[in-house]
Amino acid sequence: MKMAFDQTVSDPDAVLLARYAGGDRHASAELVQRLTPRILGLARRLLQDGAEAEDVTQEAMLRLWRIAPDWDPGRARVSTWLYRVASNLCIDRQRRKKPAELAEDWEVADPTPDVTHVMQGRTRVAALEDALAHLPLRQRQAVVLRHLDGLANPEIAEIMGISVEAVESLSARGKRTLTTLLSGRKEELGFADD
Amino acid sequence: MTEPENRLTETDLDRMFQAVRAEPDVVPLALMDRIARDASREQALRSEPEPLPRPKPRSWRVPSLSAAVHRAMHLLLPVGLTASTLMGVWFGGWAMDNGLVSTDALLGSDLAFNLAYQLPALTDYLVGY
Repeated sequence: MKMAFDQTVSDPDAVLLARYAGGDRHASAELVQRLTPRILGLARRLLQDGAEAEDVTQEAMLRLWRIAPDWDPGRARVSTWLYRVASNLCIDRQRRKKPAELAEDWEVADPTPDVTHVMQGRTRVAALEDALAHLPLRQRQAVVLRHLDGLANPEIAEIMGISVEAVESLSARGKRTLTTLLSGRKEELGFADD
Repeated sequence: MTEPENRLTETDLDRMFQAVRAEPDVVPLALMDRIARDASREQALRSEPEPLPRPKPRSWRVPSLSAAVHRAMHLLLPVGLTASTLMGVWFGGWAMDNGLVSTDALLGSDLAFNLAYQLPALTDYLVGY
């Protein structure tokens, strides 16, 4: 039980969740403020669809409210659990939408004209998000969690249900693919003079 | 710019990641509202007292009587048939012993005559005819 107690102390979201389960109305508002932007950001980058990302975020949060009375703090951090739920919901939707997606080991040999000619005048953010959309889903998930959400590899491994080594591999391949996809745009993206 | 020079470096990519991280994830108010309403609804559902177990409806007399009769019929039918058979055997034996019925009287009756007349095939079975 000591571990569970320590986990609760080190996870402020778990404390808030316990308060919510106990009937505290303000706790849910705090949890929404803390967790929703991150989950929505992840869903947007994985799904590339704002409306669907919002649905996934609402569904993931609903599952959080429902599990609150039975939450076991020793199981995982609340945010890790929520990332996992949201990721799985995104993957389910993505698979329903695109059954014939690129294989996980897919690598870009040459950037296609569609990718290299992505919207002139867009910012680095838009260019990166466009390129992310072309990554295989698992690579995209690893890159987003590692480099955009700033999670550590062991936590990503827990979220994705794979080993830390597999996370490292997916993340590295994802970055290689992104570099290839963005090749030829160095000048446009403002890196030419570096 | 030659091809290798035009390739993004690891540092370039990290700077792009940094730019995306700096972008705030704006959550639409409508979504926040939907999520907050879900939270309140789930909380309210849990705080509702557990419904008391519904009392069993009182058994109605007619159905229970009907069920009792139905149960009794299962028992009464074979008992009744057995009693009737035994009664018939006893009464027949008693009537024979007391001269109320004799074979001659039976064979001389209208019933035996009609049977023998209408169903000659039966005559072989009627002793003494």
